[in-house]
Amino acid sequence: MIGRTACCVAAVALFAAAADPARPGGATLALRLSSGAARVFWRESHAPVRWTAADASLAALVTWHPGQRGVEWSTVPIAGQGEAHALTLVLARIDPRSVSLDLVWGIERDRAAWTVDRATDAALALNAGMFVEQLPWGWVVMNGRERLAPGHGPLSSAVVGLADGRVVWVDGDDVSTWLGRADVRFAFQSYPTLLVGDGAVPVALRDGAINGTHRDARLALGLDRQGRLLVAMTRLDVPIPGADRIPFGLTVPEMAAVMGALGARHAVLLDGGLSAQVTISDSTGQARAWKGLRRVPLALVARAGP
Amino acid sequence: MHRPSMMIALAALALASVAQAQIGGIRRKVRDAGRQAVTGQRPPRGAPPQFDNTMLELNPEVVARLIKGLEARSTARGAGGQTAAQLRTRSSAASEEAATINNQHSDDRAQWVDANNTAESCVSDELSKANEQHMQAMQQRFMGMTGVNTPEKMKFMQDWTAAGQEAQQAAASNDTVGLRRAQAKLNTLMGVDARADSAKARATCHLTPMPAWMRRADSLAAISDTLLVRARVVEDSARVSGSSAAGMTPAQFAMAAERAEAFVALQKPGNVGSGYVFSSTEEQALSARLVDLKKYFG
Repeated sequence: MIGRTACCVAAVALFAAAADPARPGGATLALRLSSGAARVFWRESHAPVRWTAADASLAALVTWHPGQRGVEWSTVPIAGQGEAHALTLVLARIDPRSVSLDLVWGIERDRAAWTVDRATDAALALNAGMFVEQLPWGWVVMNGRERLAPGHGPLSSAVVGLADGRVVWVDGDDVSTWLGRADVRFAFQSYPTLLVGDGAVPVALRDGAINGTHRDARLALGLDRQGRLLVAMTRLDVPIPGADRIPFGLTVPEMAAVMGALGARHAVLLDGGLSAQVTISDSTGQARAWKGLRRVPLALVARAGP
Repeated sequence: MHRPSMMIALAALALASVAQAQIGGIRRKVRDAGRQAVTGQRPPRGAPPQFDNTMLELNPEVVARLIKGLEARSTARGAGGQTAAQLRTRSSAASEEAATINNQHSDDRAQWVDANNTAESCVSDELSKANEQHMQAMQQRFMGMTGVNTPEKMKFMQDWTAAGQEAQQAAASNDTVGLRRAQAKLNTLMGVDARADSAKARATCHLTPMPAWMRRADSLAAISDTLLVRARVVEDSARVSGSSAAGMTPAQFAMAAERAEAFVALQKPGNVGSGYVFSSTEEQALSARLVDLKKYFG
């Protein structure tokens, strides 16, 4: 009990230390180097409208660890502003041709029930889509069967898994091409879109139509130029067990920058905040789990073998 | 964060926390002391959460309104008089029953699907053969119509031409019902009984009907999906009625509910405390109504 109290209060101190007036010239994102120095890889004042390639300085400092076949993962210390002054990016990239991807339905009786604890044997698993109350928002296809109809919104994206193992990305809410098709094994939608086309940052993320100041724990999914799925989740870098789950992190435009800098062509946010959770099986088969504070209704699970 | 600083913070703050329950406002002093210990900087004034028109401070009055809204949200009913939770429960039950049936016949479905695919392919071949025979019969009939024009021949040609045009028009306008009707007329003129052809082909190919258990499982799955769609409709309207009952905009209500859920989650064993996500006013207000909040987020 005392230990828990101490942790709580230490967390208070750590957060308080993070409160930092906004820097002139706008927000920045930087890698925190082991030397204690920071290497800036994104500046709000010079933010690219389109990411044409991965940021070389970021790519050079990400050490990808092998997970199960088809999955690589990494953790990268970064720094943003205010409470985001010390974050860890939990990263994974998945070759869809080397794993079997599926959606898992997580509603039991009347409530969302899935957590990463249910997928410790998976190569990788994370909460999928977005939900406001109990059910997932938008289109959900599982095992070739449409469970929920498409949702509509200009800043939504859809991820479609085909029977031959390919993953198709749909920018926007028009999924009519894929409705009722026998070769669609799974599909889901989420929002807001972070990158469209080939690394373009949507106008709504640049002109203030989307709240660009609210900070939260973030989870994003993208597709890179090699056809790999890219997962990025923010965690508070606080050396207290459990405190990393506190829902503070990056803004939506900053998360778009992270995905662009990592080399994503397309990207969308998944439910972050209390929901964000990822488990990755490392090369020894041990599950490395970053848990959330809430049970979720839908998960994307990658298992070994196509 | 250097470890010595961390230890100073832990020690200083753990001691301070003992007095926290007795001395109001100690949390801020603790936070400030911690900030100074960690950074050497004087802390700025003000609580961490930045309240605005979307993020309302969860003071006792706002929490009371939030609970009113949560209650309205959870009890909102759809057209059939059921809440979203009831519909989700029924959907889950139907889905589980379907899964149970499918599990009991895990290999049978694959076998039936394989056999059915083979039989359907056979049926398709048989129908193609029958169509070929009909085409040949039609050609012979047209060839036999040379010579003297009788009233019967004239009527046949007129009817055939009219049905053919009807079929073309229906196809051009994607009118599937009209096309089927025109095809039925052409078949009648040619003495083709499509139903008999189909029955014969199915019998020849030993097409077996879908087993009752599979029909039941698929029906349950469809019911489950229909109930989910209805549940989502109720959820959507419940959010509106919830925010209305709380006297908040939908965005304010969603943010208040999310933050209250975070508070409840952070109280569970194994989670760190909520100290720096909420103002002290919020902590007191939410703690006072924790039992009520757990009904919706527990």
